[in-house]
Amino acid sequence: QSADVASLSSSVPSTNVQQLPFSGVIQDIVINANPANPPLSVLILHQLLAQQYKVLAASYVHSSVPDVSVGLRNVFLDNGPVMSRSNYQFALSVIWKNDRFGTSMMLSPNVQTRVYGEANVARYLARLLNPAYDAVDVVTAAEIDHWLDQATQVIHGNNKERAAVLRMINARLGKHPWLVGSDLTLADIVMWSGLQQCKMTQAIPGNVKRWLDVCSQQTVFQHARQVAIDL
Amino acid sequence: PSMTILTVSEKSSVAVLLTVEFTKEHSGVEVKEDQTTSLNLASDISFTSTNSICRYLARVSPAVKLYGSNILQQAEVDHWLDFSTVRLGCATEFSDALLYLDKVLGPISHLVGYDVTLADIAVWAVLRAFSVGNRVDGPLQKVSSISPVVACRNPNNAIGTVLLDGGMDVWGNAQFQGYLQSGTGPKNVIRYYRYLLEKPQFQKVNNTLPQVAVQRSKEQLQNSAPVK
Repeated sequence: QSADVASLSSSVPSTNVQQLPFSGVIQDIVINANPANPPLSVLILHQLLAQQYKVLAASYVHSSVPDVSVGLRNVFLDNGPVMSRSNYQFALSVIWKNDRFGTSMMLSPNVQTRVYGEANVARYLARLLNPAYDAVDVVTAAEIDHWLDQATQVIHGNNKERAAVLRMINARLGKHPWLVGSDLTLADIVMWSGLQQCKMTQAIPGNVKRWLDVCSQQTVFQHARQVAIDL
Repeated sequence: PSMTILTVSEKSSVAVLLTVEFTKEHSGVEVKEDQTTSLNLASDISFTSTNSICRYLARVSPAVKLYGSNILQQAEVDHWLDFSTVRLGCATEFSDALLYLDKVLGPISHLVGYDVTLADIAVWAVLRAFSVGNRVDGPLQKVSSISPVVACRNPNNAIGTVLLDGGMDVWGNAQFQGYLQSGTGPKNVIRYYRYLLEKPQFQKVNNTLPQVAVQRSKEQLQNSAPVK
C-alpha cells in the first residue's frame, strides 16, 4: 500500500523518494540474524522496499544453527519470475546464524564496520525508503529514535526493563493511536517486532494489545505476522 | 519554529558536552546551564537521553557531518552509538568491547569516514568517563521523558570511581585512564584516544571534567581525592 510508505516517510512528498542511492549496480544487503530473535521488522521493511525497488530477497542457514524451522528457512516468499541479478536494484539476504549480539548488517566489507542491532538495520532500510528521513522533520526523527532505543531495550533487555518499556508504550498509546505522530512509523514496526520475538504478546496492557492488533492488520505486516505466529 | 533550548549541567554526559562543542556554531540551539540535561523542542516534547540529544544536534547541524556523509555511514554511526552504551559502557562487556575496538581501529583514525562523527564522540566519551545516564526525575519530563539505553544501568556495575557527590551520573573510566597513564593496554585505542584529545573541542571538554582516579590499588584509590 502506498499509504503505508507515505506514512513511514512521515510528511515527505514521494517525489524524491524514487532517487536511488546506488544507481545501475545491484546493492547487496546481507543481514545475519539469530533464529531465536528473528528481526521481523526486516520482513516488514522488505515489503515496503519491494513497493519502491526491485528487490531480490533470499534466506540462508549457517551451519551454526542446524535446527532452523521451515518457516524461517524460507522466510522470503516468492520473488516472482526468475530473472538475472542485473534486473534487481537490491539483493536482500538473511543468513540465520548464531551471533550472541544478534542481528547485524553488512553491505561493503571493505569500507564498513558490521552494523549491529535490529533497530539500526531498520533505520538503514528506512533511509533507503526515504533518503530525507533525517532532514525533513527532526522532531519526528528524534521521537522515532527514542522509541527505537526502547525497542532495543525490549530485544536485549531483561524482564524488568521490558516491563518498564511496556508501561511507557501503554501510557503513550492511551492517548495516541501510534507511537509517533498520527500514522504508522518505523517506531511501530520495530517495537512490534521486538514484542513479538520476545513473546511479550500475552498478558499485556490494554492499550498495547489494541495497538498490536491494529499493527497486525496492516497489509505490510501480514507476512511478518504469519512468521511470528509460527515461532 | 520556536527556539530549541538545551540545558546542560556539569553532570551532563561527556558525549553531550562534546556534541555541543562541535555543533554550537551551526545548530541554532540555545545552550543554557541548569541542574539537569534536557533538550526542549516544544512545549510538550523534551529529550534527556544522551543518544537522542546527540542525534538531534547532529541532524540540525548537517554542515558538521557528525552523522556521516551517506546512509551507510549513518548506519555505522548508529552502530557505534549503541556499542558505546550497550557494550563499551557496560562493565561486564567492557574488556571484550575494548579488544574489538582495538582491532577495528588498527588501520584507521576515525571510526566512520575520515573525520570526527558521533561515533568517535560516543566512544571517546565512554573511555573518558562512563556515563550512567541522566536522571529522569527532572522537572521538564513530559511526553518523551527518556531513560537511556544502557543494558547494565546499575551504577554498581560501572567500572570506575565516583567522582562527585550525590546522585551522580558521571563516573571516571578508571580502567582505561589507568591504561593511558601506564602506557599499557590496547595500543590502537590509546593512540586513537590521544589523537582525538588533540582536537580543540575534545581538549576543551576534557579540561572541564574532573580528573579520574585510576585503578591501581585500594589504598591509592582511597588516598586520591577527586581533583576538580
